[in-house]
Amino acid sequence: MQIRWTARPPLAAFGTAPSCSLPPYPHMPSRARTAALPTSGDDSLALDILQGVLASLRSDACEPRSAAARSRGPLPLPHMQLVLLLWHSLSRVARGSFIAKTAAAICDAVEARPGARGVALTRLHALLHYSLRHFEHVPEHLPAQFQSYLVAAPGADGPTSAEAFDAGPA
Amino acid sequence: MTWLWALAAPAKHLSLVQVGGSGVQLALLHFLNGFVLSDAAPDALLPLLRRHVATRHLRAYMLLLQFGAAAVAPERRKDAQLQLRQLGFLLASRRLLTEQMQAGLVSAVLQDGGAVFLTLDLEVLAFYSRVLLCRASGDAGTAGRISSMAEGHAEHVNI
Repeated sequence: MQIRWTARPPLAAFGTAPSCSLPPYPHMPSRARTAALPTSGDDSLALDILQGVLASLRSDACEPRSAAARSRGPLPLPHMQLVLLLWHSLSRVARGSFIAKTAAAICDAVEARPGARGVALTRLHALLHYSLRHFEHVPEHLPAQFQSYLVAAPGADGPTSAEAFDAGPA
Repeated sequence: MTWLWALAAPAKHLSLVQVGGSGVQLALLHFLNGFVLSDAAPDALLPLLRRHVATRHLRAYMLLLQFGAAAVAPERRKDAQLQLRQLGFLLASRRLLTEQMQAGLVSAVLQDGGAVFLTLDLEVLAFYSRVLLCRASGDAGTAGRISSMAEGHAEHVNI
């Protein structure tokens, strides 16, 4: 599915596009936009995970009623925290590429289901918003949340703090 | 886990907990975490362990992480989970997992476009996080970018 870009590049619409060189993906075929970015110095495992997560979120956003999407539900907060950690560990070019791919996934989802909303699409928007806002620096709250999840006491009754946060206000 | 059994021989003096049946052998975990992987262990043990840890052991460990704690008596469940968690941290931090094993670990959950990753059990996900955090901490460029996340990681794993 090809995306027809208007006069402005997509990231300019968000107002806070990071000052990095993004690949010219709007002019690339769809298959090229979803391929892993060949980067030097970036952890290939981190790139693979981010690529896989983005592909899953895009699939869920485009087809939220598929059996796979319904069975796994939304991405839990600890999973999201690991995704963000991995993203922060990448180089500027790779981080910029992830932003571009996230924007492309949102465009694909909107084209596939005009006007529709869903958890996966919201997650994609959240990822895009976060990565634009925190492109240069890790926010102060993320390390604390990440450490809190890693050292959460096992066997505690009820959801962990991360799960409760993910569930939102009662 | 053949290497766990192999390492059990020198640990016969320990009181094995719930040998057989559905119990996880906590004494083996205590032995691994507290002696084999401790700083006081003989120098030869770590290379020996590194040489004998194989992919099948890693798969067995993943199953233990997800289901092992539930198989022990409730009063020992928390200890089992902590010991399994600490073993995972030591496996990652002592570089006992080869690059190939780490790649296999990730690729196994990225089948079906990464969907499996999204449904990982939280203890298993924490092990992934520790492996990836140790990888990132070992790289000079990456460590600088996420240094605040790596801080305190080792201090609090054994709560």
